[in-house]
Amino acid sequence: MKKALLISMMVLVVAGLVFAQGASEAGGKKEIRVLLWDSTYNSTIVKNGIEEKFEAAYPGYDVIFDKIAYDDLDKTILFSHASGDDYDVIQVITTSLNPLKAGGALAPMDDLIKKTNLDFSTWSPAAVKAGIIDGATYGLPFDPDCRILAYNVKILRELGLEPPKTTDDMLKIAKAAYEKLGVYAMAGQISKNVFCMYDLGGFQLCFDSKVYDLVDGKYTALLDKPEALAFVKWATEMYKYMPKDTNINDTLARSMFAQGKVAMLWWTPSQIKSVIPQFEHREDLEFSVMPVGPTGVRGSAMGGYHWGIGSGSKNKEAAMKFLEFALQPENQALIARGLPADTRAFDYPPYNVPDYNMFREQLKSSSYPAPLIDLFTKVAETWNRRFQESLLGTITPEEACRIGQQEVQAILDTYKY
Amino acid sequence: MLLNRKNRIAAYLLILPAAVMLAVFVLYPMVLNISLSFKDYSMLKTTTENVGFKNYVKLLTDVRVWEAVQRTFVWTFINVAGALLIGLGAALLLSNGFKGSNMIKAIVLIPWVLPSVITGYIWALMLQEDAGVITYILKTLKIVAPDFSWFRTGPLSMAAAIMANIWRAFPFFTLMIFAKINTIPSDHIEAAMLEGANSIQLFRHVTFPFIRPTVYTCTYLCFIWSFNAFDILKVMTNGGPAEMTTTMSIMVQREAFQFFEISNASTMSVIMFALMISVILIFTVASRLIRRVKK
Repeated sequence: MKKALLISMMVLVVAGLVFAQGASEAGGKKEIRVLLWDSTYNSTIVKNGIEEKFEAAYPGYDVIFDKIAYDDLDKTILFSHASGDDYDVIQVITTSLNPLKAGGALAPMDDLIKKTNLDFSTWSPAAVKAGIIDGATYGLPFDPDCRILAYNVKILRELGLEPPKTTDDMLKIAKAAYEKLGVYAMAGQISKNVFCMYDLGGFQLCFDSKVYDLVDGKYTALLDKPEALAFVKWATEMYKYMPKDTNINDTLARSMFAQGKVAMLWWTPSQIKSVIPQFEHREDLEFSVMPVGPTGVRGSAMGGYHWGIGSGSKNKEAAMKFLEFALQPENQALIARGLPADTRAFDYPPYNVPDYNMFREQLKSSSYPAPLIDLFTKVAETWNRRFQESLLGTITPEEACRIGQQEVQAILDTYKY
Repeated sequence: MLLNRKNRIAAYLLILPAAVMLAVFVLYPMVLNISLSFKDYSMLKTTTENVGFKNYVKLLTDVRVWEAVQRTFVWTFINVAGALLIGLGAALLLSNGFKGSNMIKAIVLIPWVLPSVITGYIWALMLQEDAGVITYILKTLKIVAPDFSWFRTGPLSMAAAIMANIWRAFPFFTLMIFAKINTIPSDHIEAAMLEGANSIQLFRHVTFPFIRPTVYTCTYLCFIWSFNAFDILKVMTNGGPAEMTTTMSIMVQREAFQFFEISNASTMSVIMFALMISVILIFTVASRLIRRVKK
């Protein structure tokens, strides 16, 4: 009896192993496991039949998508790496590239790229550069974005004001809209940790200023510069005319803009698909490139996503096959939610419409709000507190910059070069 | 009754599964957590080394940590006091057995059974500046200024989150105290009433001494839950504005899953645990001393 039980158990184990092996190479096909944001999966991958198109072009591969909430993306990448279950292809938030590389979760891709037909000469140089860490490529951009300014034409007409061209124009509109029409100047979630880097914080680039930058080979806080103070003063003034709900979420803020309750908004490419349909009269909405700051600089904060390959991936060649397919201009246009990294992709749908022209123009002069080192999130979180305190009036802009400078520098001093 | 050897073995075998589960899911994570607090383990680094008490020194000298400790105590005590008072009041009210009290008993349970994340979202929506029903009513009745927002300042944001948490927690007190009140022997109440006790005296000398152990147990549990509460604050304020509602739980989550500084998060959670146990011990000892002095 015992013998029979032992034999049956062994048979079950062997069958399980064989089955598992079969599952990873279903029908002799090589599996490619892709981890990505659920929004990317639902809004572009499924909608445009990317899986079917890839498998039709490469019959020897079976691509499997694991979708995850935005907030869990980094966590899942790191945990899957820590448990030795690395994904083959990973969608990486661009600001997380450095931390994930530091954590050993990403594989260098240069040798694999050499075997492809990818030509980066037409790609956004800033986005390509963001994927290169310590001289090696750890990420390939497929969905960068930048900000432009959207405004409500009807509100401006009622106020008798021209579209904003400078940051000062924006303040004039903000004050007039709030005081004369009871309309908010702009709206957004200030309790979000990147609010000081993107969103309202993104306008810091127009003041020719950054929270920190590489100065003489050392990451240095730049909040003690007059440009930084000028920006914080401007933002504090602007916030007087914004909703006081600090936890208002972005979806609601955009909806308020579409309803005519907000005069201007920093505008990302993904909002074209999601917010424009909410406008009752499309002609009320107009775009412009970002305004010019006091020193004549026009800045726009870049963000977005890169593709990476898991450092423990057992199918790196196959992973690159998928990326080569996904990064062709026509496919990049179908997969990107923000903007495609390759300018040639603007010739393909859905980017070959006038709504994207302004972004195409703005992308050329856009830059990341600060160097994307692995301390980026910690710096953002730390500076956001002082930035918010200034907006809320609990400390002065001068105090915010002074304390922020010390705190940010203290974090940057821990950077391992 | 003494167990013989065979029965003793059987008894140990019966508690073995529970003991294994406790060891694997409670003891091991606790020990691991404590050991991580003495390392510099970060998921953003490929190396780890022992650092002794360095993490403790670093965090205990960080002003932000102490500010979070302070906020955690404010949040916890107001929540416990609020939930206790409302829960006790509701239990006393329901114990009168007025018409419709059975239906109210069922309704009162709803906040308790809702997941705290849902509670947070519901309250955040109701208190929202532009479209929240509560804010709208307050503005329409001109009780607050037209640009009023619950989430404008730290104290108001904290108050909003506390309201939501008390709404969620008070049914627990109501249910437990109500159940205990129902077991008070009727002759105790009748005797007190015959002696001419009014309702306040009846509560003070009969009802409260009887329900005191339940109140204590519920208070301790509510204290632990509130001290560790994360979901409602995360959903309603995200620790903001300007970190003014950032409690230790929010900080631990941030260190662990935003900065991936696992050792910092472990150290903070050990400090949290020590603080919580200290408070419970102080209260337990103090209440025993008070009782002894009274006797």
